[in-house]
Amino acid sequence: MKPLHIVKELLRDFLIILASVIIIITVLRSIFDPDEAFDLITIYIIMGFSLVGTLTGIILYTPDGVSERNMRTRVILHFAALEVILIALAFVTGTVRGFLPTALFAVQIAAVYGIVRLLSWQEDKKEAEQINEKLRQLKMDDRQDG
Amino acid sequence: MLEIIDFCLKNVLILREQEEEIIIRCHEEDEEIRGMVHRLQTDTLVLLGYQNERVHRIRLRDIYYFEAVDGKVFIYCRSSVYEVKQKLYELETLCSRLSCFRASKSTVLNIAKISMVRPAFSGRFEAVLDNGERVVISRQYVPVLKNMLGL
Repeated sequence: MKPLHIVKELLRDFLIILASVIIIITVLRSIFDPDEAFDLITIYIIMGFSLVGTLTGIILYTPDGVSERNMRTRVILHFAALEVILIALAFVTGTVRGFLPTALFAVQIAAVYGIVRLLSWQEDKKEAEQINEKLRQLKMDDRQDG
Repeated sequence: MLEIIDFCLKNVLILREQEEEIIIRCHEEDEEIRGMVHRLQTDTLVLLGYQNERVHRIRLRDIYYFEAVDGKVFIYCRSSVYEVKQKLYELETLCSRLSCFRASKSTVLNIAKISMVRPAFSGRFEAVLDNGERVVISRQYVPVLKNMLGL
């Protein structure tokens, strides 16, 4: 994959992750802690978390063709790395303390990860449907000609 | 339409030493003509495949995909595998104007043999071939496939 293409994909993932985190945190705060101020530093921390999280996506980019099993292992590794890095960052910045908030944070990361995977898969599904439609058409033409 | 084509067909017998050729005289190169040329090319392209010290003549239309494994290149047909002497990039060039495309770093796939394409869990695509076999299509080569299909 070309470096420019990788950068474009990483940037897209960064924006999706950032938007999802902001939406989820806004909704959760509105429900559980509506009086808490949403200061500038919080936004920067979220941006930092999203960026580091996105950079772990490099695990998924391989120069050589690898098997489906290898890729699945990479996806699991990617998810694990994401959880570890983000929870570590949250501890360092003091955003999360104690078992329950950490567990909640881990669940939030898993939810965002799931959303990104689902959106990406839906996009791929649409693309596959377009290709399949064209393949069906080609096979019908071939049958008519043959 | 068929009657006109039949009427226009001319067979000119040539000497054994002379090279055989097909000339299409037409007013314009439209989809029908291109389809005809494509069928002629795919029907006539033959590769030599080696299996148990025997050499087989394999038509492109019978080939499902090519794969490079440990420096060797193999031809995969419906239920048999042959080794081929050409490099994968040579086969890609040779067959690209027909109906084959690079699906990953190690495979060149015949579009005519793809039954369907679906997204895989890992974020890549998987092509299910007419014989039920599954071949991975890397994300970076999906635009090549789409382009060849006119999408």
